Amino acid sequence: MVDFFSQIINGLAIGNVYALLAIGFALVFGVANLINFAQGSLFMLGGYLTFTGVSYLGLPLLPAALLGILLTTGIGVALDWACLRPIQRGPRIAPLLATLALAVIIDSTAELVWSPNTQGFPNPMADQAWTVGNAFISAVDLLILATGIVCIVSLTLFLKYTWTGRALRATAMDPEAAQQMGVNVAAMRTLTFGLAGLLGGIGGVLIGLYYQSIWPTMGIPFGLKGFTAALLGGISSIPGAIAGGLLLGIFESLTSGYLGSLYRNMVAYSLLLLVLFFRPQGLFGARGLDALGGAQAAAGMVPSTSLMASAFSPVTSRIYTLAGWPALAVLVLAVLYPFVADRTWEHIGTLAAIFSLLAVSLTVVAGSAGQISVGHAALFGVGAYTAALLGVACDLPIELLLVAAGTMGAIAAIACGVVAVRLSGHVIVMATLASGLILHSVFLSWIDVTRGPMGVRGIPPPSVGLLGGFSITDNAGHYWLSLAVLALALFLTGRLLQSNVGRTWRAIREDRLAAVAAGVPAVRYLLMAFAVSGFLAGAAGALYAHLLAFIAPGDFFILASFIVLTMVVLGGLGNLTGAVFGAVLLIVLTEVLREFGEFRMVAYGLVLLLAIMFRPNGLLGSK
Amino acid sequence: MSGDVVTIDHVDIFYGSVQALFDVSVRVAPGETVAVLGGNASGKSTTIKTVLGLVQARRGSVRVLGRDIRGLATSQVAALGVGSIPEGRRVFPEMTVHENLLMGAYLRRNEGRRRLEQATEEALALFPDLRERFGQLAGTLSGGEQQMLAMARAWMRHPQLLCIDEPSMGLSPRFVERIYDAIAGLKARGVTILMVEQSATMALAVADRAYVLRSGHIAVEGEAAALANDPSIRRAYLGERAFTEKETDHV
Ligand SMILES: Nc1ncnc2c1ncn2[C@@H]1O[C@H](COP(=O)(O)OP(=O)(O)OP(=O)(O)O)[C@@H](O)[C@H]1O
Ligand SMILES: [Mg+2]
Repeated sequence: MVDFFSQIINGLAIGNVYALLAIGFALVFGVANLINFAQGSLFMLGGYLTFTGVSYLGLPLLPAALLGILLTTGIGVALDWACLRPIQRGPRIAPLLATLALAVIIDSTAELVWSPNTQGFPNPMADQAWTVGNAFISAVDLLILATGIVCIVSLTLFLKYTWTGRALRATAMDPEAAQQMGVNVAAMRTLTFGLAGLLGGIGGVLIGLYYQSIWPTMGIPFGLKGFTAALLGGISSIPGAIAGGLLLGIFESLTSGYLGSLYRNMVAYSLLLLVLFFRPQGLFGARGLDALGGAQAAAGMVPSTSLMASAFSPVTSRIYTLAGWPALAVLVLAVLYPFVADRTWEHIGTLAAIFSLLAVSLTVVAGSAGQISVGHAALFGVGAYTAALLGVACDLPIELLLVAAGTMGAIAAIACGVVAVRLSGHVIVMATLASGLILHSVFLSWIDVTRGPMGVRGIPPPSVGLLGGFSITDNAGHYWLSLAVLALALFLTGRLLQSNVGRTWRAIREDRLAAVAAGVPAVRYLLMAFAVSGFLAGAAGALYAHLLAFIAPGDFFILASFIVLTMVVLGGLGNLTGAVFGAVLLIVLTEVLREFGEFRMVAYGLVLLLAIMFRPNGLLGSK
Repeated sequence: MSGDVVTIDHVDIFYGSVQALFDVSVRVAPGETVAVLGGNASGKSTTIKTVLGLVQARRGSVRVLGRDIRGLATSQVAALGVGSIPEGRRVFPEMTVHENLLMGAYLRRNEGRRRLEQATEEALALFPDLRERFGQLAGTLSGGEQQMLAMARAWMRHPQLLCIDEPSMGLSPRFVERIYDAIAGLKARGVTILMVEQSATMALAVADRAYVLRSGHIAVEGEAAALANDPSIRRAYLGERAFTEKETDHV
């Protein structure tokens, strides 16, 4: 029997960790005006560096933890110096994408260094626990509670009563005015990233103790929950972050206690979406989200979603696109490609075409309409599962399966879009991330339909209705099929982007307020962009499922979304030619780097980071 | 001149590709109160930002309190002895009045509690309205009270040079008078003041000298009293626009 009181204690303990992470988000958001995706990675590093100190250097736990936390603090500062500060004046979305890239780089480097497997974390007080009445209280719970409270109290006192703490708060409220008071805002920024690293590191150690294990991707769920907690509290408020963390911890602990731990993550992410939808200004009504347009959106006012085109971003001098005859020439060459390629390269060509389709899908919503989505692989997954399950169940031509997959993708995209279109800027990224993770957990846990982690096997080869049910079995056939779908999609999307609809999307992206003032029903147009994008992603999923004949939830995790995002940023958000170019480039790069398979994710992260730092408008420029 | 508190010397300022100031020169001598006047978007705030190091001159030089400020951060310029009352007050909304005052004294943080308490007491004596609001969040003050707080906050620093951007903005005539009384009080204490203002009458009454900006160019400069009494200047430059337009209509 689940004991209510134990669940509360447990929730408070975990909630303290969320609170530490949430404070990190809130500080960085306040001072640097950005949502720091790498916060979760710093958290993971705190755990791993401590683990290393104990297992490899033979240090006792406490000094190892102090050393690990100190290093994490330094890494937090270094990331800001090396990667974020240089792009402060770049496009508004650039720092966020950079922290995303950093998160991927750090997480995958951790997999390389410490292996992707879960590691045991030393816990000297593992079996100290007491029962008080019915409640079960462990020493770790108490340690987490005590550490959390000490951190929170000392941080609050620091911010309230010291010169530096006040200067930090002043900088968060109004950096220009703070400067005029003589505050060195660059130093405050360093301090902030240091504090975020410190709190993240402490959180990582505590969670390591709690679960007695650590794993390289642990930063993703905990980072997202820390963000949820910060958002609950109004994103830029420290007391709000603390309350949000504790509430989330208790809520999660109770649901997993009474409903089962399978629901733990799904409940937390759904809560995030609910808050974003109904109360983006947080439970306590702070105004922090205003900077990102969230609270205004909630109040019925519409924020501006200006993306790459914010004030300081110089318009790219040249935009490279292919259209008309040159495009046709490239198509002819692409059609002839199987005659020179071997079977492996035909397969790679097919993957390139499928991912091009996916990149085109993302560029419609992220580039043209300005709604950055990092949950895109989930829509791809919806299409793949639809086509796979229908294909396994009954004998249908691929045309029909493509339409069915596209339709399901569009429906899922609209569902995600309903939350996202009311938001803007960085918040939208979090919303789409949460949608993606929820869909991923559906793939994973709706075992009756999706067969869970086992995946769907034995997906039949596609049969083409137009060719009288001709069944495609060889690599060249798959390639031509995917190429045909891609060409059709490019043609139609190109027309769409040049039509009134495309112009309206760009108008909304550039200045949503002005567009709305001019009578444009922005929400309807943005949902349309999500639908088109979801359809294309779903179709790409269908091709993917039939190409590989086997799909599993892992194919549609955020890392896949991240790869597609990298492709699109490389091509210059909003540029169709660029999207295809980025996709082909990255798929070929993957093949070339096959020997270094494990380094692949690090390489993707680096590519994205460098692109953002040095070519924020992509290799081919954007419109 | 080298003895000046502020020397803006033939400066061009750009925001991206948009030029805001054209070959502007402004001087403020020790103890002087100088007003920069002009209509909306004439470049008044930009002039103040130039002195504070918030914008960098593409051409020309800026000297403040004996130092060329090229390359200095705004916080370093502040540390030279420059206090600022920014446009739109810019108090720290989620800090109390007391904390805002302490932020004003940030650069004196090593002087010890006693002297800061004394400075706070002085500031409250100058702006008595703030006394009963001492523990209130600054964001909940009225506009006029916020202006008082911004002035008191800048005064906490005991600056040698005080930069004021449009102190009368959005205030009722009665409050504007009180604000200008306070400025006159600071002037009487020997602070050097550079202020920009849209409504000329009050500013010219307190200033010793004045410049008039028009679309980023200095149109007129001279003794404040002379400018105030010259009807053609008043008409052409100092906001008596309706009048001028009517005249040109007839031409
Ligand atoms: N950050 C900025 N980016 C681009 N242009 C700017 C910026 N700040 C000011 N400008 C432009 O420079 C010009 C002068 O602006 P400034 O703020 O100095 O005017 P002002 O005289 O203070 O006007 P007001 O009376 O309205 O405060 C304006 O045309 C303005 O649009
Ligand atoms: Mg101004």
